Order: sequence, then C-alpha cells, then structure tokens
Amino acid sequence: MMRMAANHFYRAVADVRENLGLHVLAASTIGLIFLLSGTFALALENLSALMERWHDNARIMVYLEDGAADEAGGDIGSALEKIPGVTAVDFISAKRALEELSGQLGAQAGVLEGLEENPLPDAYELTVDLSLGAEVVRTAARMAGEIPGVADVEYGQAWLSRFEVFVRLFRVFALSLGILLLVAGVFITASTIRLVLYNRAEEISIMRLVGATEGFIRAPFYIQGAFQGLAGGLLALALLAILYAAAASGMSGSMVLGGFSPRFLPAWAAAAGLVLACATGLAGAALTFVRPGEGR
Amino acid sequence: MDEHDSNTDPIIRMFSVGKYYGSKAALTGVTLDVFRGEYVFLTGPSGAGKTTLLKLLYMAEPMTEGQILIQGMNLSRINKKRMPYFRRKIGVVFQDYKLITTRTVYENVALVLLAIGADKKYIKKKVRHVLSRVGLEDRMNAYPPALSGGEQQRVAVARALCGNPAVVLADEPTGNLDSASAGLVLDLLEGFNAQGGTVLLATHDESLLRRASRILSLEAGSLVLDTGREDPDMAGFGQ
Repeated sequence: MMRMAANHFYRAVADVRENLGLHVLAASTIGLIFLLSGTFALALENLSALMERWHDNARIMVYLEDGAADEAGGDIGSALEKIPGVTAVDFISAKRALEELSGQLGAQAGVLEGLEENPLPDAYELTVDLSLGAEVVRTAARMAGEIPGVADVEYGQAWLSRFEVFVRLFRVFALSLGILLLVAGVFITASTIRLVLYNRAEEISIMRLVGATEGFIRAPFYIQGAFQGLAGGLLALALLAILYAAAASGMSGSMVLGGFSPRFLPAWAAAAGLVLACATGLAGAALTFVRPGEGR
Repeated sequence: MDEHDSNTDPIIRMFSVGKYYGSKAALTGVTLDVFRGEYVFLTGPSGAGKTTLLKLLYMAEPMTEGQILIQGMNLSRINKKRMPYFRRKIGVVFQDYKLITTRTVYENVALVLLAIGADKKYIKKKVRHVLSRVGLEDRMNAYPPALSGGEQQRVAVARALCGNPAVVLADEPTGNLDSASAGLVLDLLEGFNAQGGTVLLATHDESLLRRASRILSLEAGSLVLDTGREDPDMAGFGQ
C-alpha cells in the first residue's frame, strides 16, 4: 500500500515538474480565488466580532437637562439603577465627557480649545444585560426617558439591528460568491489536469493494456489536483496575511471602530480553508475523469 | 503460467464470435479452441479480421455476438473494474510496439509490475532478467526513440513476458522489422512457447508460417482454415 502510494506520489511529482508552468498558473488562479474568498471570510469574521463587541457592550446614553444633575443629585442615578436589565450606571459629567473627547481626538484636540463653554451635557451611561433580549434595551431606554430631568436617551440598538441585517446579507452574498468561486476553482483544476491527461493519453492507453487499474492510473492526477489546491490555498493564505497586516496596522484601535482591533482568521478557519483548497483540487481532478468513454 | 493445467485444456475458446461495426461485419461466426502451449499463427489478408480477433481477446473491443473464454473466464462477464486483472494474465505485442517514449526501457517493462504493486526489489530483479532474455540489459536506461525498430519490439516482448502471462497475443509483431530483427523477435516468442506459454500471433507474412505449429486463416471475417493442433483428432477443426 505504502509502496503504491509512494509510486503514485513520484509519478505525480514528475508530472508536475514536466508541466510546471501549467500547474503554477492553475495554482495561482486557485490562490486568487481563495484570496478573494478569504478576504470575504476575514471581513465577515471582523464584522461579526465587531457586532459581538457592540452586543456585549450594549449601552444607553441618558443625557440630562442643564443643571438636572445638581438639582436631583443622586436621585436620577438611583432611578436608573432600578430599571430592569441595567447592570451598571456610570455618571459622566460634562467636564469628564469633554476630557474624554479631547483624549480621543489626540492631535486634533486643538479644535476644542476655541470653545467658550462646554457644549456637552451631563450624562449617565447605562450598561444593559443583553442576554435578557434586545427588547430589554428598548424598555430600559423608554423608562429612562420618563425619569424627570432626563433630556434625551440614545441607544444604538436600532442601528445595531440594521447592522445585523447587513452582516447577514453580507454572509449570504459571501457564501454564494464563495461557492461560485469554488466551482470555478474545480473547473480550472479540471482543465489543467485534462491538459496533462491529453499529453499522457497514449501512455494511459498503454497502461490500461498492461493491466493497470483505473485507480493506479488516476491516483497521480488526484495528487496533482490536491497539490494545485494546496499550493493555491497556501498562496492565498500568505497573501491574505500580508494584506491583513497592512490593513490592520492602520485600523487597530481606531476611534471610528470604537477602539476595536481587527483580528486575523482563527487557526481552525485557516486550516479549513487549506483543506477546502485541497478538496477543490481533488474535485477538479475527479471531474477530469467524468467523461463518457474515459473509463475504458 | 499455471503449470497445473494440462496442455489438453483449451486456454482460449471462441464460440460463434462476431464483431460488427455498424452493419459491416469484421468477424462472423468464429469458433475455435487454442490449447495451452500451442504456437498458433493467425493469418489472412489485410482486413481479414486478424487484429479485430486479437482485440476481442484482450478486451480492447467488445464482441457483438458469441462467447469467448480465456482460462475459463467468460469475457462477456468481465466488467470494467475486473478488466485490468484479466489483462494481467495475457501479454500483448503490437506492430507499432506501443512503448511510452518518455520512459526508459527499464520503466516501460517495469510498468507491468508497478501496476500490480510489486516489490521494488522484485521489479528490479525481474526486469533485468527479462531484458537480459531479450538481449537488451545494456540498453535499459535508453529511451525508445534511441532504439532500432527491432530493439523496440524486443522491449515490447520483454514487457509482454514480464508479468508471466499464460498467453501472448502478438499483432503483426514483425510487420515493421527487417528479417534479422523479425527472426530475433520470433525466437523470443518461440522461447516463451518452449517453456509452456501459449502464443497467438497474427501475421500476413506467409514466409513466417513455416515456424508455426498450427495455422488459422481468416478471410473477410470468417475462419477459413485451421491446420489443427498436433493432436490428429483436432486437425481440420473449424475448416
């Protein structure tokens, strides 16, 4: 068994060496296909992480009327703490809010220097336990808005819902495109293997005449398909890592993303991608032999 | 070769075999037995059906009608999956050698044993032995295009003998060779026959027929002559 496998492997390597240009071209094309699919997967991974982060940190901002904090003292805070689902209440004075904004603006903080008075209101930041359901956020926001001294309530749940819909649509689109690209990868591999097969047509017919089984004849082609897929997958992974490194360095901790740091594909997803690339190559090789009359 | 079988057993049996390409008959009603250890020449003019008959025997083409048994195996019952295992029991030699031009002489011969998953040491020993039998041990690293026609045909014979077949089918094996090379190739096949192997050789060269122990003659797809085996009871069968 091992002997036969080694023989198939050597024959496959010999074929790849004899048709190197063809195999490199096919592997590169598969690499590009998987790079595109990987980019979508990476985008999905980060969008999902971003969404999770926003979910985990579901917050309601409760803005107070001018002077309400001084007049009502801790009454508003106590009332907010009693709202079902609220797990933490943090008072953010107008002064603190301005300091935080200044810190977030960093080098651009100078724009705040010209302000004659602090335009930001006093506020409470409520943390809500989302495990109780998204409806809790809406109820908490409504109840907070009814407390005397509260000027406005803001929460991102409505926006988050829209974002969730977008992510879901993006997932469906990415999956559909991924499937289409995989099918294209299978056909590309099949075309390459078929060319090698045509070059070997006479040899294969002789092999059949001397009693070689179809498995013996086909095995090296399956190995070549797997080679192509694996090489394409590795190429895609390497390019994706380079692109990610370049993009992530500019995005990490970005204020726009609320301090979110992007992350690369988890190891299991990268491994699954390589297995899928191999499977694509194998499927392409298998497709090569699905032809009437080829079996004889 | 299976040495348990007596040479009175038919190794090839054909019953009313016919092969048609559309409405054109290439073979019709061929009935014959070839016995173990026979050296049979199949002759007839071009287009008589010699190659077709051999193709049916090594299952390169399916018969249209009739039955063929080789070593007791009914060919019509051998499916595509079992065909390779059947083909390993027969050696085939072609007029155009059918060698893989991108493989060395050694690799061409070794292919038969590689295909059955033989041990590397055994392959090396066996291929060297067979190549020495055909006088080409010193050319084992050469590629077929670098060999003469006679040498290429000897490689093809070596390949056919390498798997220890019970039967060798040879389709015009000397057709492209000069008389000296043809003589060498026939000597090799006779050597195989002398060791108990069965040979069925198709040729249209009548000068070779003196070397046959039995002659079958085809004309327009029909068997018109069978000189019979040495067994007098069988003489004239099929005429």
